[in-house]
Amino acid sequence: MPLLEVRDLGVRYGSVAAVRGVSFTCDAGEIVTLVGPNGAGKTSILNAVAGALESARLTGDVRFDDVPILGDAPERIVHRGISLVPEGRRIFTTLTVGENLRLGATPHGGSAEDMVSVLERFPILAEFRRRPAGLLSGGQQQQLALARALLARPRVLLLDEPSLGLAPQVVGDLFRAIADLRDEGIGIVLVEQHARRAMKLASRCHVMGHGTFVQGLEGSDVAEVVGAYFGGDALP
Amino acid sequence: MSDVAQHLVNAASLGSLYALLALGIAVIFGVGRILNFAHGQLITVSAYVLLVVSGLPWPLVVVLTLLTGVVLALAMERFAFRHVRRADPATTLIVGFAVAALIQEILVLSVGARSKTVDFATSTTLPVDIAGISIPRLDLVTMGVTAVLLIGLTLLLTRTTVGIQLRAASEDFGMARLLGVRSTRIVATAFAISGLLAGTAAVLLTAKSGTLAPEMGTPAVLIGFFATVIGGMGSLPGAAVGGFVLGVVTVLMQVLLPDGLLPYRESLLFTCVIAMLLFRPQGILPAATAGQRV
Amino acid sequence: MSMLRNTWIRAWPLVGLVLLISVLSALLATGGGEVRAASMTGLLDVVIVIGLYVFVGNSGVMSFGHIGFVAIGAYTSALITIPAVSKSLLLPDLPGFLGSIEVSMWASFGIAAVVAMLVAAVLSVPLMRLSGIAAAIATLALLVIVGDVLSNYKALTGGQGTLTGVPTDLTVGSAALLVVIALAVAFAFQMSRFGLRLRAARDDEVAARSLGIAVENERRIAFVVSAGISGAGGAGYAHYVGSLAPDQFYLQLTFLILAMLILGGMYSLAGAVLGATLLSTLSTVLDRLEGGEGVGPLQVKLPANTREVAVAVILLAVLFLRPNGVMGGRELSWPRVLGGRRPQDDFGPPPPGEPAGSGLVDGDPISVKAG
Repeated sequence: MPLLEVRDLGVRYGSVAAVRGVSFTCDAGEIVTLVGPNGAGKTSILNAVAGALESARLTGDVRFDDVPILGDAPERIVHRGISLVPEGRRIFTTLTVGENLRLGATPHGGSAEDMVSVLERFPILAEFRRRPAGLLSGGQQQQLALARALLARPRVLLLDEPSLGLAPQVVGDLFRAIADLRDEGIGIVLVEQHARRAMKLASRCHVMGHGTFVQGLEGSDVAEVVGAYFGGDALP
Repeated sequence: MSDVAQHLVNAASLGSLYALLALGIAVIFGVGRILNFAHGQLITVSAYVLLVVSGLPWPLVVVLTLLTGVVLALAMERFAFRHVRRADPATTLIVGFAVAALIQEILVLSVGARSKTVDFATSTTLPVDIAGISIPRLDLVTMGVTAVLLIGLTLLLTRTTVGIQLRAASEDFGMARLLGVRSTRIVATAFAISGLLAGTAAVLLTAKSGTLAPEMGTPAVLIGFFATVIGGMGSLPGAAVGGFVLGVVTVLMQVLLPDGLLPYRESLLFTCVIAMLLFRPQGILPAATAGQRV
Repeated sequence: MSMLRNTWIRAWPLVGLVLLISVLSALLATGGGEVRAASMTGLLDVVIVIGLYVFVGNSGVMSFGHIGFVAIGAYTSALITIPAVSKSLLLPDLPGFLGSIEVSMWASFGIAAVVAMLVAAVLSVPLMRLSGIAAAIATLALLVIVGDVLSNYKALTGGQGTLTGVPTDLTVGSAALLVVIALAVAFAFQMSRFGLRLRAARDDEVAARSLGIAVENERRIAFVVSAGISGAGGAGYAHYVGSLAPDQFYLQLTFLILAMLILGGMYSLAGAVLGATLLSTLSTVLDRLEGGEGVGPLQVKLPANTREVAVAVILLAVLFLRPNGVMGGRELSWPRVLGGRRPQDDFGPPPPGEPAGSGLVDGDPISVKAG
C-alpha cells in the first residue's frame, strides 16, 4: 500500500477542466516528479492534494495511509502529515524568520529538538532569526519555506517549483537538500521547470500536458530519458 | 497657551476613542476580509447591558460589558459571517448591514426606541487640574485605557502563538491554513478581540455621554470604517493611527473651521476619506497582504 | 411573421414586466385609499430599485450611495413644485429663481432626474476609478455626505426638520407610468452597446480591458443613467408623501432598497422588479398588522418593528441560501405556452453555483492558480 495514492483526480475551474484523470502514487523515501509546460495542471494537482482547492472543484480519490483525504480542509491535511511548499514560497514577509518557523510547527505545537535540527540543516536561518522574513534573499526564503514545512513533521512533502527564480549555485544546494530529505524517508512530490535535474533525482516521473499525464517513466527509464533528451553530462 | 493644550488633550482623547473603534473593525478585516458593519451593534448592546447592570460595583459592570461584546461578537461570527466565508468583502458588508439592522430592531422591540440615561462613572467627567490645564478625568481614562489595550494587543500579536497566527492569517490566510492554522478558530479569535474592543468603546462612550440610544452604534461604526481606510485597510497599526488622525482632525476642524463651514465638518472629513481611497488606497500604514488576497 | 415574433421575443423581458406592472396597477387602482397608497409605495420602490440595479447589476460594483441620488431628486422636485407662497414662508432664504419657480409634477420629475444625473456625472469622475470594497466604502461616505449637507444647508432644505408643502398629486397611474419609463430606460441601457460592454467587463474585467473596453467610462455612463432613475424615483416619492426630512434618505432606506435588489437577484431587471414588489408587499402587510389594522381575513396584532426584523431576516436568509436571489440573474423568459423557444440569452444566466460578476461572488480564500 503506497503512502500517498492519487486516483483519477480531476480539477475544474468553472467550465475549464484543469486536471483530468490523473493517477499516481508516492511512497516513503522516494521522489516523484511532475514535469510539463505551464498551464498543464501540475500546480493544481499539488493544491488539490494539499486541500487548497474547494472540494466542489475536485473529483476522484486521494488516499494518505489508505485514508481518503480529498476535499479535507488544508489544516487537517497538514495535521495528517502532508505539507505543501507552494509556488512563490509564500513566506510571511512581515513576520520574522523565527515567527515563520514557529508557524510551521503549528500541527504539533513545536518542540525544541525539531527547531534545533531544522536550524542545523539551514544554519543561515538561525543567524537571521529575528529579521523580517521579507528581507531574506530568494534562496534564503526558499530555505525558510522548506524549513517551515519540515517543522510540521511531514511524511509527504509537496514541492511546487522550488528552484524558481534562484541562482544556479543555490539551485544545486536546494536539490541536494531535497535528496537528503528523501534519504531520510520523506516522500516527495516535486513539480519542476528544471526537468533534467528533477528527473535525475526521481524514481518516477510523469510528463503532463493539457491537464493529464501524457507519459510516465519509472526507474531506469527516467535516467535513459534524461540521457536522451538532455545529453549525458553528469550533474553535480 | 492653555487653550492650545486643552484642545490637544481633547484631540488625543477623541483620537484614542476612534483608534479603538478602528481597531475593532481592522482586526476582523485583516484576518477574515470581513467588513463588519454590525460592529456598531456590538457597542450598542454592550452599552445596554451596562445600563442593566449599572447598579453593581463598577469593576463587575466593566467585566460584564466587555463579556457581552465578546460573546455577541462570537455569536455573530458563528451564526452569520461563517456562512459567507467565501464571499467578497462587499457582500460581507451587506451581511453586516443585515445583522446590524436585525440586532438594532430587536433592541428597539425589547427596550423601545427612546434614548435612556445611565448613571455610570459620572464622577469621571469631573476635571482634574494638571499643570494649570483642567482635564476631564474621562479623557485621561480614555487615553490610558487605549494605551493599555494597544500595548496588550501588541504583546498578544508578537509574543503568543495565537497572535502570530493572527498576523500570519492577515497576511496570507490560505498559507496560514496550509501550515495548519485552523481557520474557524483564528477568525473566531479575531471576532473575540473585536468584541472586547467594542465592549471597551461601549464603556467609554456611555461614561462620556451618559445616554444610550438604539442607533448609537451607527456613527461609531462609520468612524471605524473610515478610520481604517485612512490608516490602511487590514493593517492594525494603520487602524490605530487612522483612528487617531481622524479624531485629531475632527477636533482641529471644530477649532479652526469658520462658522459657515462648521456644520459641514463631517462632509469635509468624509470627502477626505474618498480622496484617500482615490489617491492613497493603501492608507497611511499599508498592510502587507499577499497580492492575491486583495 | 417570424421576424416580428423574434422582435417580440427579444423585447419580452421588457414587455412582460410592463404588462405585469400595468395589470397589477390597474387592479390596485380600483381598490380603496389604503390599497392605492400601498401600491404607490410599491411602485416607487420598484423605480428606486431599478435605479440601483442599472448600476450595480450591470457593473457588478456595489453602491451604498444611491439613496443620496433619491434624496437629491426628492428635494429638487420639492423645491420646484412647492407653491411660491408656501416657499416664501418655509424657506425664506431660497436663492434666486428657486423662490418663485413652480412647475408641474412631470416636469419636476424630469428636472429632478437631470439634476441627479449632473451630480452623478461630476462624482463619477473620481468615484468610478474605484471598484470592489473601495467603491463600497466611498459610496457609503457619499451617502453620509449627502445626508450631512441636506441636514445643514438650511436655506435650501430647511435643515433637519421636515420640509412640507409638496403637492401630493401622485396617482397610481402616474406612479405606474414612472415605473414603465424606468423599465424602458433600464432595458434600453442594458441592451445597448454600453450595457453589453459593461456586462462583459463585469463578467471578466481583464478580458474586457484587453478588448479595449474602458471599464471606468462604461461604469460612469451606467452610474449617471442609474442616478437619473433614482432621482426620478425620489421625485415621485416627494409627490407621494408630501413632506421630506433628511433622515428618510439614509441607512434605513438604503438597507431596504438593497434588500429588495438582492432578494430578487441583482443581476437581472426582472429580479429587481420582483424583489421590490415582493418585499414592498410584505412590508406593507406587516406594517398594517403592526398598526392593528389587519389585512383581509388576517387579524393579528404584531409588535412594532416586526417589519424591520422580517426584512433583515429575509435578507440574511437570501444571502446564505440563495445569494443570486429569486431570479438567479435570469430575465423573464418567453412563455412556453406561446410556443417558440427562448431567445438566445445575451446575458447568460450564471449556471447554478457559479455566480457571475464580482458583486456577490465566491472568492476562494486560498489562492488558486492553475499551473
